[in-house]
Amino acid sequence: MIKKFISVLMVIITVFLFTGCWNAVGIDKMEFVAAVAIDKGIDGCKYTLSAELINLDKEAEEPSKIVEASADSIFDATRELITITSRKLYYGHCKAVIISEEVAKEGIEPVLDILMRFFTSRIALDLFISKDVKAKDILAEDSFRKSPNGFEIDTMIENIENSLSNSEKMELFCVVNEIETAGKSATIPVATIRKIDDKNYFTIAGIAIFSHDKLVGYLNDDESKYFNMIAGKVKSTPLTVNLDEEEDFIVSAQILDNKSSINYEVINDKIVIKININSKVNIGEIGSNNHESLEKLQYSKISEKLEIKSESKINNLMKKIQNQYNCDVFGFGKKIYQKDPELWKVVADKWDKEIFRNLKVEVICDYEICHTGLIEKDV
Amino acid sequence: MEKEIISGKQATNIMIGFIIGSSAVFGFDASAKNDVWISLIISIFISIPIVIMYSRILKLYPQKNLYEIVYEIFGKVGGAILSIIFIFYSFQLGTLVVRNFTEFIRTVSLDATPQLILSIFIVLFCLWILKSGLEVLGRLSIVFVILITIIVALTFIFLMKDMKFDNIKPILGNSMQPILTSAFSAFTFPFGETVLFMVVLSSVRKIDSPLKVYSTSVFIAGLLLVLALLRNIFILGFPTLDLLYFPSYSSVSKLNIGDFITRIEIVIATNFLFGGIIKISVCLYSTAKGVAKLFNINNYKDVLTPISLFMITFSGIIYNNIMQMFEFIKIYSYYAPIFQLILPVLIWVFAEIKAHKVKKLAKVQAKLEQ
Repeated sequence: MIKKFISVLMVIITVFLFTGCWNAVGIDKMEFVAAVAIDKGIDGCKYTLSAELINLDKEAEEPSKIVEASADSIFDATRELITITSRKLYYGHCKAVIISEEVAKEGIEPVLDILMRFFTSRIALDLFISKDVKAKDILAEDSFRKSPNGFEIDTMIENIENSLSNSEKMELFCVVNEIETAGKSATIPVATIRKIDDKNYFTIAGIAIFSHDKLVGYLNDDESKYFNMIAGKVKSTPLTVNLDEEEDFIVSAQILDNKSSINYEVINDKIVIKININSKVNIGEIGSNNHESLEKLQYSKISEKLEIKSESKINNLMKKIQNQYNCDVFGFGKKIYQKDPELWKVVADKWDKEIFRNLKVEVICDYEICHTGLIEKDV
Repeated sequence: MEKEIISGKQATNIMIGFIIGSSAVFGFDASAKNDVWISLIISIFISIPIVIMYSRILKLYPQKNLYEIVYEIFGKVGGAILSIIFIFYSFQLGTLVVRNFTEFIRTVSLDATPQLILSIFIVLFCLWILKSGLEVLGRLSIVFVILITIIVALTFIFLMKDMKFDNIKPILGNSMQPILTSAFSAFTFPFGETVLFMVVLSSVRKIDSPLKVYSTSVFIAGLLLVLALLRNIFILGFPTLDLLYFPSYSSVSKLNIGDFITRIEIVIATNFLFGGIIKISVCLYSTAKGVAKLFNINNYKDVLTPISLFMITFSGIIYNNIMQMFEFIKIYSYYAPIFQLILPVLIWVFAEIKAHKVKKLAKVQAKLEQ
């Protein structure tokens, strides 16, 4: 009997003394962070950290609030924020990190370090570079819908990937891999601000190019589209060509299934890159006022025009990157390393300095028209 | 005391849980970069002859455990010395696993809980299992291993859409030397640690051969580990895989099924929990068996409690911080072979000689009787 009594007593003691975390924080005592923006610091500090806090009050006018703090390290700044919010910040739901271009120009490795090390953050955070504006502004501007910008930007990049393909989602650990891998320069999508009727909206446009961990330049919307095409990552994107320059015969095609294969050959001790891009396209729109041109509508001609246009665009893009930025954002070096590690060992040292700049690249595009929508001829 | 009997199936499951235990969470020495999976496969093949040797020793002395065998071969003094060495090994291995456990929990979730609290509850649970007998561990591990297998398989399948299969290329792109180094370190941790099963397998029914138990569990556990490792390589790639302390935990955090089932990395923690409990229990068991034999104590269960208390204490003071722990995992591959390779070979050679002598003697006696 006494044994039973003691065991019941022990159970009760255990229940009251040993359960729960003693550093538990109730949900009403926390502030949830939707996104973080990292700017160059003011007043002699190194960084300014802005956090977008989700407004849990449904009645509230604004979906989120922005707080900012400056400090010499980002970690310092996260703690500094508590002096404003009065509550502990919870980063577990943070979706996006926006880094300003000033910080990116000096190198993003210190930023990546804390993001990887910080245990409540996730390795799959989306990274963005803010172009022309402060990173904080991306969070501060109105979003199109009444929801925190951090969540909106995450949705936006996913939809852009799926139906516009002029930017590419980059997760934290992918950026880390690319920065540390020889033969592939890192790229991060660009967030910026667009003005519509006196109202500013944030938007995603293009790709930022990095040489090791330093920002060196940008690709605009159009270039980014072709950049993704080379990588074979276009899921769907519109592509417009003018079939007849004089009569303004515009055809819009939608790329559906984009595959690319990057190969290389060694000719006379020089590496020649061969890119084959195969895409399936839909006809999305045929716009012409001139009915005579109807007769001229030949699908083979459309695909031919598309091919010529893409090839020249890609060649221009290639030249721009080779001459202006000189970083291997396409990952040609990595391709060579994966296929022939011995060859890579020979060229690795000189790759960034001279080989990539003088690389000869041959591009062949091949479009196949599969569908024309609900109608065959133009209206 | 009454001898505990477990079936071959239970023993196999205990061993699978033991091998997967901490390795599924810690990953492997990644000096071979993206060829580390090849190292792991090589290490499975390295361990085959070794486990054949272990089971040969057990076969020469059926139904006897490691300590009884060394006493029989090397006499009282030699037996005592070897016993102390193996007691030390299994004790320190158990301590390391407890510490790994608490460091893992501290790093990924409970950052303010004292590690002592965690280790007390884990070790007490293992103590409870063993106090109820080895059979309980056997039955428990069947459940645990099924769960571990399901978790590894499901995470692999559901993560397939996020996998970048390019990460594995180039295959054999680096030189052979780091691959072999990694293979050796993967042998010492975890496959070589099965040397402790020379204590456990003496309780297996007579009809189940130790070799079968050893080989099936090394193969199944090896397969699961290769699967988990490939998953991490495909998801994370290099150098992220090398940067992270707990790659499995991070790669599974990417899992997302219809925006509904997300952030289920805790299943990896449960994986570790199951494996870790089996591993700590086996270490505790083999230490207690050895101590009981050394001091002529009839029932090993009497010494379980003090040993587990020692384990808790030592797990707290063995390292100062997590960096030392990971540094030691590297050193471990040079120091563990003493217990996993050199001493067992010594025991095996002497056992064969002794068995040969006994056979000869029996023949002579048979002749004389004629």
